[in-house]
Amino acid sequence: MRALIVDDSRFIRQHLRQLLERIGLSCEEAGNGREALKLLRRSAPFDFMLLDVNMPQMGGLECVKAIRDACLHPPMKVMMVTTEADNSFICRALEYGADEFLMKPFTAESLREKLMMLGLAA
Amino acid sequence: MTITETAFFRDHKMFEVLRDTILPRLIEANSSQRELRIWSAASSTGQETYSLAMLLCEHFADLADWDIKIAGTDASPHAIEDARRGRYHRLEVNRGLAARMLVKYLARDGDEWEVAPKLRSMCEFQNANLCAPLPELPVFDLVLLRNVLLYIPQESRSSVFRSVHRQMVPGGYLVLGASEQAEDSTNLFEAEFVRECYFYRPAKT
Repeated sequence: MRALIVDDSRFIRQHLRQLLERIGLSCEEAGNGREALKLLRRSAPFDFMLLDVNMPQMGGLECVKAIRDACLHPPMKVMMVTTEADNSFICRALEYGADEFLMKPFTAESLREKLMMLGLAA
Repeated sequence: MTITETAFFRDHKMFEVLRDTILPRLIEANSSQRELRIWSAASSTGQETYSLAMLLCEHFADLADWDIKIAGTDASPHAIEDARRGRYHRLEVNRGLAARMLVKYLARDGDEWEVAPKLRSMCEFQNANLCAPLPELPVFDLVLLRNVLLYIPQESRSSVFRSVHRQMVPGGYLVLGASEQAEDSTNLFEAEFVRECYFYRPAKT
């Protein structure tokens, strides 16, 4: 299974890559929403996207909306990762097309549990 | 010793089987008296108990006028206190709870999320040590005794099963943890295998 990690922090991308590869996903990375869209338009299908919210150039909310509006990789599950966690914000992300939400800080176990809920891990 | 390791909807597969098979059977069986009694017998800080309440509210709207009680008991008074508060930190709501359910059934208040009053009204928590005489409890249609047998000495398990058996209706269901079995400690129950999950029913005598 292929995952796309979108975060403006190289350190966080590396950390997430390690966690996801341990679960058995192969990963590619993008540094912001715009890079992610570019990659999605020319890449083989992804099964899963881990998407940060606050990023320069294009943030996660705008990115997930653009992905769903353009029907890019429709079966791809999108999980947003953020420190923002107001219910109204989570509702908006779900309306825009996010499938799941993971709040920072999180543990490897909670990431795995969320992937299981999305049918992406056993 | 008390163990407080827990999560919302821990072991999703089991909750799916409850939703699709076990609860519909119990609801049909209880349709004339329109009441349902569920016991989370090692409820820790309440996540399992509230998960059951969420499951009922989310998937069984027809039960709105039923008399439903979900009892949560635990040996730790601190865990029971936390369960009654019904407030959870970020790390706790991150575990096992779908975002859609989080926003529907819990409200954010500062650094914590509080369980909705509707769910809280369905759940009652009290201190109970499974290895000692139990407090006054009703008889239950469904009992969850998960991930606790490991911490109960082998020689005490049959007595725990006897206590649980006394608290169950004849047609009820007992659920153990995914890696736990009843057969080694008691012949009070008969196992039923449903979609990769074991359920135990009081044996017919």
